Amino acid sequence: MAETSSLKRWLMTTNHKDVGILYLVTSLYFFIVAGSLALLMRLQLAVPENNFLTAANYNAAVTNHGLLMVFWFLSPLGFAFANYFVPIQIGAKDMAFPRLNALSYWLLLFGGLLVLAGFFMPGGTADFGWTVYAPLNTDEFTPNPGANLVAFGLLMLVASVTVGTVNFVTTIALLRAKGYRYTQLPMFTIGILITVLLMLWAFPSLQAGLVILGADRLLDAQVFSAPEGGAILWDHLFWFFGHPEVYIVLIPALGAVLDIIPVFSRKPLYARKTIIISLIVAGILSYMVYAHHMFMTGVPTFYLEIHSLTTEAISVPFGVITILAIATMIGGAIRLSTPMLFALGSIAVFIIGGITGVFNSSMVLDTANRGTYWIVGHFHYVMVGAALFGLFGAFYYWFPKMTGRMYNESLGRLHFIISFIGFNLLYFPMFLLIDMPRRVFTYPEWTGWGPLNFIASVGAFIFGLSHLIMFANFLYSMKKGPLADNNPWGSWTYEWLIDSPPSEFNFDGIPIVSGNKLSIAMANGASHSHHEGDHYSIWPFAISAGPFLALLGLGMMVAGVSGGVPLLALGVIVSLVAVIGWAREDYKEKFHDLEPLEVKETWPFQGISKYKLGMWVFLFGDAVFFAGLLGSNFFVRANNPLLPSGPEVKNLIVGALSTIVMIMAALGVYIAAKAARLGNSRMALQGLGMGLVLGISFVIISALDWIQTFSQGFTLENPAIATGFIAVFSHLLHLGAGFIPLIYFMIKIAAKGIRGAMPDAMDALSLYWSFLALVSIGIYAVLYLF
Amino acid sequence: MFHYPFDPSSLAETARIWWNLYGYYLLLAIVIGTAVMTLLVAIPLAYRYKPGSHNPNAKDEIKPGEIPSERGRTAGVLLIAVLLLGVFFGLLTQSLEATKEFKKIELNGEIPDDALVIQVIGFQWGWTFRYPNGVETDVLIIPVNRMVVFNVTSEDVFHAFSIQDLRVKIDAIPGKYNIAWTKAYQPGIYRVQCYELCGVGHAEMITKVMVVTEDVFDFWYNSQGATLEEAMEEAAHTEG
Repeated sequence: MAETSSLKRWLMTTNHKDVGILYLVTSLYFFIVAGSLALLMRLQLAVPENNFLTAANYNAAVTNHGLLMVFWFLSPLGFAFANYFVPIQIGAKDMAFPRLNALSYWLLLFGGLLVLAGFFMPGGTADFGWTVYAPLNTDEFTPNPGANLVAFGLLMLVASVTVGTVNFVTTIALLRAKGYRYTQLPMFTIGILITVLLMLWAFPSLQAGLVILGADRLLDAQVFSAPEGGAILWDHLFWFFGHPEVYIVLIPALGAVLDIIPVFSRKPLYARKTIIISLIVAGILSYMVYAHHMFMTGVPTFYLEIHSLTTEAISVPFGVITILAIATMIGGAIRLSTPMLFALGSIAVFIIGGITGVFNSSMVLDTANRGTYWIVGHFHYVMVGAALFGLFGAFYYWFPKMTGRMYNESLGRLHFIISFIGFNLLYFPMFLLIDMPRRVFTYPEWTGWGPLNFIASVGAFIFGLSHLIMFANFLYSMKKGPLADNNPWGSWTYEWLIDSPPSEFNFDGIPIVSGNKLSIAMANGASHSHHEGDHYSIWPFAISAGPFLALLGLGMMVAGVSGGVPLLALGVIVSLVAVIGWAREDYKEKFHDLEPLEVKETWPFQGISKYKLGMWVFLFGDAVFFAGLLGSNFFVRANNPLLPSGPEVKNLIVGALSTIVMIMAALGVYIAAKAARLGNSRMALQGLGMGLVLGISFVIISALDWIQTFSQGFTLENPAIATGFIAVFSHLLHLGAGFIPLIYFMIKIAAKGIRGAMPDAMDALSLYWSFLALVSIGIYAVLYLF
Repeated sequence: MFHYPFDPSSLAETARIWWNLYGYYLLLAIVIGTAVMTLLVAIPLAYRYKPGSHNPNAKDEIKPGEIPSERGRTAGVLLIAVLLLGVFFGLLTQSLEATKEFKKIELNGEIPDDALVIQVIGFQWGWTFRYPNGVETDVLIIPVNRMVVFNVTSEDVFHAFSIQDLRVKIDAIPGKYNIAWTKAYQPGIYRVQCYELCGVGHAEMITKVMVVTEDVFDFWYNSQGATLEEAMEEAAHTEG
């Protein structure tokens, strides 16, 4: 492996452990940024009628604090460990798609930088709260140009999360060591698997909302500002994503806690299978509870009552998990080392966060709770308390594995004690501030909220500054700490059977699981055939930097800042070069000798290539995105009968024609994939050619159709037209992306013939095109016929 | 004006419904929370590692490279699940029962004849209260012992109308009319505030509600636009 300090290594790495470290450092950076914003807020609120921050600054702080903490600190911190340890825990040498893994990281980083760039825009950044409620989020009420950059940053985050999800599902499904069953995996890996599945279906809803918001802000559409249901539409789209997001943040930490407790108790997890089932049940239920965020919106009471019921119900699996985690310690030999203290601290605050969550299931109690500091206290107990304590426990737990050195145990315990006291001083008073509205930048003295706020502010500084102990401890110990054993805690999972820190490909042999024994079988030198260091690629970086520059340029252009247009142009050029560069690496088959050679446990996906499985996973998520867009179209029309129906706007014949052309295009790609499987390169080329020509025809027909629509006098100010146009436009963008691999395969087959994994990859492409044909049928049904 | 944990049930009917339910939840939360928290602290202390007393070769010990065995009795786990289900089902029944009372206007689809219906319009940043006789105020004045129905909307962004002490809260959404109600039990002055972030003026979107006796209210209402001070003066006069 290259030098630690080498810039080349960190910009070009695709190794899962390096990517994990990049995630770790980045998430801690955003923790410091977002934590500083929180301390500014607590300074402002410490006394009534304070003038430390203006209302606008406070609102910007509150908004960006929430977004950065949730999306750029807590989730990435969990995924830092996931990147580093999930492949090792399942006995793999790397992720299924290492370059995509690096891509996830760079998209995340550049998305976060876009959000931060919002602060430097003239006119200010987003200040509408992390829930981005409509219609405050539209340019009419929040013209701040920085808000556009925040929305762009969130879209890059969604892209990052989508790519990461595909990668983790495929990795865990196909790269487990031979004989390793799902139910035997460490709880952390199981937690990550459940988390990414939650991400898969939750984030596309946010994506749909953000795309519509972008049209509202930049293209003069009026979907969310429409008085007929615009605000409620955002609520549905946001909370369908927003509630699962809580569990997305929580479950990686919970998984780590459920691994740490048995190790430090020396006893197996109590009723492990019940815990796994409970997690799955909670995951499924998490999509059906979101309307408890909307109890006061006046949507039909029956709908709210159902969500009241499911919200009560979701307490059961989490209650069961909590009690079983505690029961695990019975009969054990418990060592209260730092990771264990943090794990128990996480459970302790989760109990309070969970129980206060039960209060939120009641519509009547919500009359008091909604929009108050009670809610702030509740979700910080869950998201900061349970998630942050759990993940910091994981950090202490894995520190010796990642660095090969021990941290200072006394300082670790000191960090726990101080941060735990600070945490409770900070957040417990908020339960008593049940009268105080959240997100107010100040409050009158006569309300009597001053003393409790002062206590919370003191707690905030104790809690915030306590983490300096951890940073100091780790920074010192990673260089000077005593050398650590390979398995200082006596843990059972794979990462503790290998070197600290692990070698580039983790294992010196082939990991095999037989019965309940994890072993690493020595292969006949096969495992050393890898060429060290040739996993470098600059393109994941470049392919993320391109959109970053372009979106920054676009945001500056809209804001009227000079230099926007050249930056936008530069970004587009970088993106194009990066796509070509990425494709060239595949063309030269640079990474093919990194394919894992050994036999893997792939149940229940035997015989399905990683490309095809990855594509399936992606499409399951993408379907939610299109469902969100078409559902929005349906919703705005159901709320406003005056909006035109499909046949009044659209030519049914033209629509049917374009749909048939799209289906035929997909058929062409399908034929090509089948031909590639049979080794018939001529027919494969013909099929791809058919897909290309018909695909372009579809684009032309769609474009003419929409020119016709707009020439009839319809504009995006009509929400039905806007949501329909966004759905079609998104479909065309997907199609545009579909042309890239299609042209790539045409060139490669023409030049080199069919070889290697090409038939598998073309299967995946065919799947993608078939999906686009299905979407075009859906678009026809909703936009034309309905 | 700070009071917690406070019992607002003597202030209004909505507050009474809220308090009855809240007490039920709070009791269970404290009982269950204390029990679980005690276990969480007691078990690690009781089973602390002591050199000599711990057998590292025991059957269900965590050993490197060995997937831990399944542990635990199904009956025990089921018992926990059933207990929790029972508790939450009990809470749910109580909650739905209270909801029926709380949401009775939406559920019955009708407003009682003797109710006073006030239109509440939120805007950036303040409130307009429009009475059936066309009078508009920026301070809410309502009579005691009479059902008051708030027909709440917004003319710009998403707000939330709340009289927190009386446990009245409903979102004020542009283009949408939402219903909330209360019935105050005694005269008093309470805070009316916005509970959803609505822009830079959110913190100052604050006014008051004056719950007055039937007589004062009638005087004020029939005077067609008397100021607040006049109503107050009249109130003092009447009581004097």
